[in-house]
Amino acid sequence: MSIELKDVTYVYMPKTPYERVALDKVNLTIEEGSFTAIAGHTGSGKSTLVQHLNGLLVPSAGEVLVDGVNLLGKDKAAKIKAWHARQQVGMVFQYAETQLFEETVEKDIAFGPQNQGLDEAEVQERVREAMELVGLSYKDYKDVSPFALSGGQMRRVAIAGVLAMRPKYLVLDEPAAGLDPRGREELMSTIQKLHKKWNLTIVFVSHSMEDIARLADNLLVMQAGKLRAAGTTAEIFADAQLLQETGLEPPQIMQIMQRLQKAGLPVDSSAITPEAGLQSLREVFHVK
Amino acid sequence: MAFIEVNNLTHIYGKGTEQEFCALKDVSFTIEEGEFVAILGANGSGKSTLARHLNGLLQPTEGECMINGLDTKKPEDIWAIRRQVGMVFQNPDNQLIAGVVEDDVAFGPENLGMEPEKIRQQVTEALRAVGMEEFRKFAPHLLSGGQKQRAAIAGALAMDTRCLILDESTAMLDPQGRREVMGTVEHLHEERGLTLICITHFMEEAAKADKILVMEKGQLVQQGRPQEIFADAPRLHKLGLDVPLAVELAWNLRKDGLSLPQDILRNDDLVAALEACYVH
Repeated sequence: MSIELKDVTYVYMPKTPYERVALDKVNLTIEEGSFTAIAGHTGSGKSTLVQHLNGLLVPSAGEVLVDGVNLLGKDKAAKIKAWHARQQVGMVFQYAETQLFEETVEKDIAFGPQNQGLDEAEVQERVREAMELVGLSYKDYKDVSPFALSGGQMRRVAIAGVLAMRPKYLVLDEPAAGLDPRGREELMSTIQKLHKKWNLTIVFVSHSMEDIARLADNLLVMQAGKLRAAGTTAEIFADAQLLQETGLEPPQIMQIMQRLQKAGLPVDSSAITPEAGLQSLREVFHVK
Repeated sequence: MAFIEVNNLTHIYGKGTEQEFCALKDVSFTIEEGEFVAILGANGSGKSTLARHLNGLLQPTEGECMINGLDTKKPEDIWAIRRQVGMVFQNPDNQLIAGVVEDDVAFGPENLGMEPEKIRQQVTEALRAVGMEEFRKFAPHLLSGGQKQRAAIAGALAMDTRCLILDESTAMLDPQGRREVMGTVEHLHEERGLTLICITHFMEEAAKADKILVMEKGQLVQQGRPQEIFADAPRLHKLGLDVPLAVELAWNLRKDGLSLPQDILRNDDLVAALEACYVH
């Protein structure tokens, strides 16, 4: 099972003077169970791309398949199938906390499953489950106004609202932007847990090479509406020329290690996480 | 007299109502002209409330804020204060108002009643200072996030601002946009002695400051040079903050018994120290 994009092209405001090709013949596959990051310069097409993954945007050309089902159903039967396929893909937007609107955390999270037509008991079960998944105690927070929470907690409520619909794929657009270091750490750990413990397939857009290196297995690099490169995080970060041409830079630890290597130290310059870097430094300096 | 003097500043939102909330409590500090100060603190610790006092957007409930000898509580001084202290906010889309970049930059000087000839000169100079001359005739929505923030900075410079407050101005930018904005303000700080106050969650930005103020729950809990503040990593972690990667690595290696200097802050420092330490 997977999400597949085949020759997807998307044109904003076609046939007007403002016409702009935001996606240009993009082909990619996101396998179920994978953890994929999308990086690229502002305006490279990242957000346009993720909005195709659950049919919020419809390709100008090409097709999007979720578990083999084309999201653009032609007849009535195909449309129903497409609707079900779309439900498999949950989407968390940038600054998702701005979408909260209900009086209590419970009501806000219940909004999605209620609209799916589930009965009361099932909805409550879903809310409880989703809150536990994002690390908010149901008992303590269900009756709290979402607007009384911290920024990081509000964002987790917004994610819970998506999880309550039990998607198989979770797509997040810059999930940690604007959070303080602790909020960021908690949120990224939550996402990691959703992947490891609950087997959710994760796709996230990020400007933080540190977060990408720490969490993702695969990395897609967008440039000027095209999928410029796809590979494992280690492969992509090792390609200095690619990074430079696409306006990205390797994680900080890798930059440090590369500079040390240039200076003649036998360190592991392929380390992309602080832990791996520290390990290599310990060996080189014979400590611990 | 320091450029900014904050004395026993307390700010209570919604005083006397049910939602009464004490956002700042008895905060005192000074900032000298030409200093680069970073303010750290978890979300909700009072950083932005504090910043909004420094150009009179908010008034102290108790205590006082003196800017270059002027009291922010005196309505007759408020324009003189805002002219000297410019603010750049987090969201680049919330602060550009005109249809063309140069009109936006000219907005401040126009409101100060400058002569048209002088305004043109101020706008040209301000755009040059932030490296945005070629975008003079552009509509703001055609700019990148970093360019929008630089245009906002130019707007403050055109009023001959002496101090810039960046309230998480790089939080919504991509790495390149962040480098553009920080490079611009650091340059202005070094070349023109612009006073810089930078609220940030990026510890690498804070490491470049002369002084760091640490806020927690409305109180100023620590102030000092970056070397002093970052020396106590566990304490910062407890406050929900972080330390720069170079500091974290050095701290771990020292703990393992490697002898490294105490003042490692930036990647440059760490690389140099490790090089010196390595026996070929």
